[in-house]
Amino acid sequence: MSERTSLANKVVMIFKLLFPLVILRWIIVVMLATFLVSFALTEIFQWELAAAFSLIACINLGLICALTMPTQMVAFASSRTVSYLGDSRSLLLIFLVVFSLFLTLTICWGWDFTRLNHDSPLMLLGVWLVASLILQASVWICSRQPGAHLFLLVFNMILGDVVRWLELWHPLIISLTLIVSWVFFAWWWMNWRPAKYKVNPFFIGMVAQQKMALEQRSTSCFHSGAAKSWVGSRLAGMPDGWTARAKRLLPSLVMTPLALLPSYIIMGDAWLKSFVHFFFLAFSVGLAQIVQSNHALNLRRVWLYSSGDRNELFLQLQKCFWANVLPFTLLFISVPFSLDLFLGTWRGTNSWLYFLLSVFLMQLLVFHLFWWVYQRTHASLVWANVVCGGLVFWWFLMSVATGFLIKFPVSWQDISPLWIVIPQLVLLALIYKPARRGFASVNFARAG
Amino acid sequence: MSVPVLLNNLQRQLGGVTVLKGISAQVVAGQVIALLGKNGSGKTTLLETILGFGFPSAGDAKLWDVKATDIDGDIKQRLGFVPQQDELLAGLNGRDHLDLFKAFRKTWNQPLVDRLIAEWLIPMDISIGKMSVGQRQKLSILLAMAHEPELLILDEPVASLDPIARRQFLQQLVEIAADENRAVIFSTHIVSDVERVANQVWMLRDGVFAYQGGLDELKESFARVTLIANQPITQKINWPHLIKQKNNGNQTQLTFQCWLPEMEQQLAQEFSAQVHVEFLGLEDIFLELNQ
Repeated sequence: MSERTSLANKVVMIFKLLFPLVILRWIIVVMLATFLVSFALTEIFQWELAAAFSLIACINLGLICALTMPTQMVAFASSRTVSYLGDSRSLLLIFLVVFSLFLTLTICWGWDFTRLNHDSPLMLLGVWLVASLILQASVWICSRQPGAHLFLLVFNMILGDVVRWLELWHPLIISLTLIVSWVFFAWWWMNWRPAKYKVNPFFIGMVAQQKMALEQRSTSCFHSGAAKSWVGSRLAGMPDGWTARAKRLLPSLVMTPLALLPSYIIMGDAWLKSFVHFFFLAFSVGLAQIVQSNHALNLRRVWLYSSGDRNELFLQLQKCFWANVLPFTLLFISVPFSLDLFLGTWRGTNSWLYFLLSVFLMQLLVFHLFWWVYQRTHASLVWANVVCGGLVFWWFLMSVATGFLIKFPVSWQDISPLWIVIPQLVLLALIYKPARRGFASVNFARAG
Repeated sequence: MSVPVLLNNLQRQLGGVTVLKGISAQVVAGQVIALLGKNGSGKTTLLETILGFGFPSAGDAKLWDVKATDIDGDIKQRLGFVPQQDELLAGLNGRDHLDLFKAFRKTWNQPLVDRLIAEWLIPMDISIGKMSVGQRQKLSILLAMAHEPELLILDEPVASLDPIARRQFLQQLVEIAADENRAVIFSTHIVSDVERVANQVWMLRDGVFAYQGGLDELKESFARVTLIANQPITQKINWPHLIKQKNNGNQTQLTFQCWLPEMEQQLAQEFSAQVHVEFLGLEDIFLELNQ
């Protein structure tokens, strides 16, 4: 075999190892093809639609890779089986460097095209440094706690400001910092000797995920506590007492402001005043999806221990859902509501009523749509999560696009909030009865 | 009178594949049924369908004359179930689990619980996540037995237990079996355990029962016969219930299902050969039926 073929085989092998799911590899290939074709069309014909496609493709591509690559790299480096594959660590390192450069080029191209950031020769260097640092930190964090690097994505929000600040630096200093960071990372990466295998939480099955969660929670003081009710605890997969719930919420309550802090420091009050309510309202809807997803995962545990048939179980599920969602929603909403009142940026009673109505309707929709899809797909948690996640994403998108939650320069101006709320009501009316009726013939997902 | 389990032409599809292909059976009180089958033969699907986790694609599964998917709280109180993967709660210790289960159950045999905790050495004050797989399994079994269910269903309960714990668990099953009002169905791959406690065997192969009946009858019906003739037997023997033939020089080994004592004389006459009959153990029977 020639040296070139051997290298090509190794690259293909590393690609397959980094993205072990066939569907994921196809998504990446399709995204990459979309990006390259639409990029070429944009450059040749200056088509704005092609540019939009190109940007969407490269954002998705970047996100998928930035999320999955660090955890998978760490999983390989810590796997004794893969460690026998010779120079796999150095190949992975090269892959990461190339990816950081690809990410940098696409970000710069996107900024340049959308005029989100001014064109500057130093921009590329600055973006590369920031992208490299984020990727290096992601891998390091994953080596400590696989999957914990997700919070680093928040730094993307302030990327523009950081790069503008870096442009004040001498190019030599930026270049030197970039090289030093990679040299230091490479040294750590090649010499890192993990004590045990660090499994990638994204690519393991449901049973293994539950087992892992059980092990992690056993040593976490945030997951101990007393159980309040039988069904509630079985559904949550952990104690459902109020103290236990509050403890579980504590890390997110501490971590969320910490994660948003950099944005606040750089953008100041204006950012806080205009964005903070959006985050908290979005959290409330996201929370419904998380609770529902967790309940579905544990549903089969409850069947033999609930007091009635499937119809009664549905009512119990509904009760548990609101018991988990409502208090935290009220807490989440009270924060921006109070800030609105006290910072003198009151958006008006009508706006707040619409916000609350829309969030409440979304939570109701998530609950009913989830069970409807779950029943129609013979207990497919994947489909139920994808469809509900899609709905929530669509709501975020439309709320921004219509200027319902946040007014952007690109939002449709002065559009009535009813354009958001009425479709929600219509969808709920359509799904409400079928979801309840359908639950009587629901299968419970298999454990393994 | 209603029986704990009644299966009538039960079929079940999962992801487009028919896993159960028409199973009919009934379980009466006093039976200890061992469910045997290769990996992927449908044991877990059968147990979960009996318990109403999923709907049959045809036929039905009934628990005390009620469709398994429609059972109410009263019937659930009469059931005990140990799943293959324990479903204990993170953040709680063994004692918390006992308190929770006790609050749900209408009956509770505290002396039995105390005895089993002591005999099985279950650590009750450490959290579930810190327990070994075997300790978690013991706790799961204890929680399923504590309310003395009329029907106890266990899906590979001994897979993660050490030999001592396995013996203790089997002893407990024997005690349950002594109670004529209770029935047990357990799936396992450890055939020697079946011989210790079961009085009935369901052998599942490709979604149907390859055997369903008493353990003793099964063992008496399978025989390996060695024919020693003056000349080698080369032809294929076509006898009823013959499932395997192996020729080796003057010796031919035949494995029969549904063996009858008079067949020994008939074989000797037909092949002018000496006949040695050996009855198979359950493990050999399992291998013969599944190869």
